[in-house]
Amino acid sequence: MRTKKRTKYSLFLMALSLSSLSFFSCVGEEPLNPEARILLDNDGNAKVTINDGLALSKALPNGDKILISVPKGADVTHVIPSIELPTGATVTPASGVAQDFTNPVLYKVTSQDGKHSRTYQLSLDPFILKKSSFDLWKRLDNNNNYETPLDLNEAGNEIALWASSNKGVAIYQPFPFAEQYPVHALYKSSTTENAAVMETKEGPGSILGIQYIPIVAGSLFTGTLNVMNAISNPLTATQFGMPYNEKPLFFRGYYNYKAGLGSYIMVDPNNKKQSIVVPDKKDQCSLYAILYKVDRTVDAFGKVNETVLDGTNIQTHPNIVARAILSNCSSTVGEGMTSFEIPFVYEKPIDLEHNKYKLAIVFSSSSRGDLYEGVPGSKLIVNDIEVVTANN
Amino acid sequence: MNQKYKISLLFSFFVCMMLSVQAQEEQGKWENDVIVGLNIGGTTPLPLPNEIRKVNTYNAGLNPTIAIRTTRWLDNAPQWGITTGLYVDYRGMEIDADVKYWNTRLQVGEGKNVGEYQGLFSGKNHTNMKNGYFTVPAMASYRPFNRWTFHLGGYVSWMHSSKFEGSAADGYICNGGATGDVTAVDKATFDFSNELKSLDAGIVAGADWKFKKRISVVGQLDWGLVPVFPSAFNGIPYKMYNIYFTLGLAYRL
Repeated sequence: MRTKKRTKYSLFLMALSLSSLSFFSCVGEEPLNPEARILLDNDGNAKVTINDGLALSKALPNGDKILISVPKGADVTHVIPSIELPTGATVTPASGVAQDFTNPVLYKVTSQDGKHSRTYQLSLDPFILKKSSFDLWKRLDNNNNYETPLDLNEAGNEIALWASSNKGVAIYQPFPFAEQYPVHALYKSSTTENAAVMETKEGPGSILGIQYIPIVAGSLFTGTLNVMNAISNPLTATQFGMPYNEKPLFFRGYYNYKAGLGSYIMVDPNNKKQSIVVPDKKDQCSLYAILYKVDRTVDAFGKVNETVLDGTNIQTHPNIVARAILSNCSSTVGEGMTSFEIPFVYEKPIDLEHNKYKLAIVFSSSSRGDLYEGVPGSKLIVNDIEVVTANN
Repeated sequence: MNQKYKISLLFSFFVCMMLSVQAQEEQGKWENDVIVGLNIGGTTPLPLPNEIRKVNTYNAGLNPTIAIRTTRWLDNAPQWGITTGLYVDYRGMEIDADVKYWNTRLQVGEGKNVGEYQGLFSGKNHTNMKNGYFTVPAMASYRPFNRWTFHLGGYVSWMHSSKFEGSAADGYICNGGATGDVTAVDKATFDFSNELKSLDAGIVAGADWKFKKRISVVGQLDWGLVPVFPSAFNGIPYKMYNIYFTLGLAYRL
């Protein structure tokens, strides 16, 4: 009798001790996928492909706007895009169904769990940048509060050629107002006459042990910002350049630069988790345009690779054909705008008939801002830029 | 309160308890035990949310309890008593789990430029925690047989030390939420040690089995009913509770 009881209670005790562990084993049902977006490849291009031979570029995403460059005069009335989505997500209109891309087409992606959706605007456009007035600024997606300048094509459709450091900042510092970001419009109320402002700001410091960011520069460039490795390897995030099929001769426009008056701050080269001050060093801006040749290769797996310059090689890549660089980008005199006109210096011949090219236009309030260096308060204003080409 | 001050406070409390225990013993209706044991369990959401796909490794760690416990047996119902005491206990674990669509909001940086990294993380989550508490239980005790005593009641705990840190690794985060673009996460670290609530309370159930004249095996389950993080905390997408089992030995004074 006594033995029996003891067994019984020992079992009870054991059950009690096991109960505290048992919940680790009861893993629930696989949740339905909440992700609603168009997938991006590792280079940050949207996984959207169209009829072979028509596209001059990969699908270049900027917020909810995706641009595929096509030849001028190409027939886009019957194009079949193929769109890749997260597991279980759906898109309307469906992938693989022909659409008329005379005007941009809206694609609405809905997540597998049905709770989330995101609408993209897919443009097939021959637009190349000749002028930018920085008058039209908009939020390019609902996830973020920063604004980006847009250009208009002949039909008056918005084209998103510009990307900025705002997209990187928004990942870890989602400010509620557009003017709090390093890149913003000069006048927040005006939509008719405006200019682009880039400001170097203090960063938050350590980003979850991944990266130390003491300084954030305002930078604006033609291209895309690939957030895939934006925090761990920021120099590769800036994918410079948009398709260009004319020969640029001059790069001109207006700017005002005031280097910050405070200390020059940089990441300590001996301890990448803290910053140091460099005494007496002045900040500089960046203002340049670079034309480079795009090589297209297809690897053994059928993956198409195209040359794209990023922060690691924008000044050094062997595919660079021509440069127009403002050589001494230091503080301008007075509060007014200073004009610039820089000729493109050709290092290699250009062959528009046989090769593809991209033009990268880059502005930054701190020339070494991509390395998280600069003086907080440095401010670059740019307006009414123009690329004069041989076709003008 | 610094660590040294806490320890000396604790020591003097113990001495007081011991003295009062000595004084009470003659009366016979009092029983006093010193308990040493180990805590095994987890600080966990219940039920386990679907975002946790797989627990890869779990390590209970070395989380001791040392306690002094007093029972006053009732005069008119000698099988029944009231038990209280003072426990110094550590609750911790180290866990590695695969998570999917884990909604998190993490503070980044410091000072006036502090930022917030928010999104849905899918990948590996590693959590290493160890929190120290002073715990006072209040339990009804029942001794149906000479060798067996059962306890049921509640407890209140005050945290005296905390560690709750870990990493998110080998995955990706949808920035801002389900419709955000993706950033790869090789390894991001977090430290929520200063976010924890200093108070915990819950129910306690236990049993003692006396196998020597003065020595018993003690099993006790502490089931927290107060989430360990305040409701304003968004680092982890669900409420977590302390659920720990103590296995130890009691020595009758």
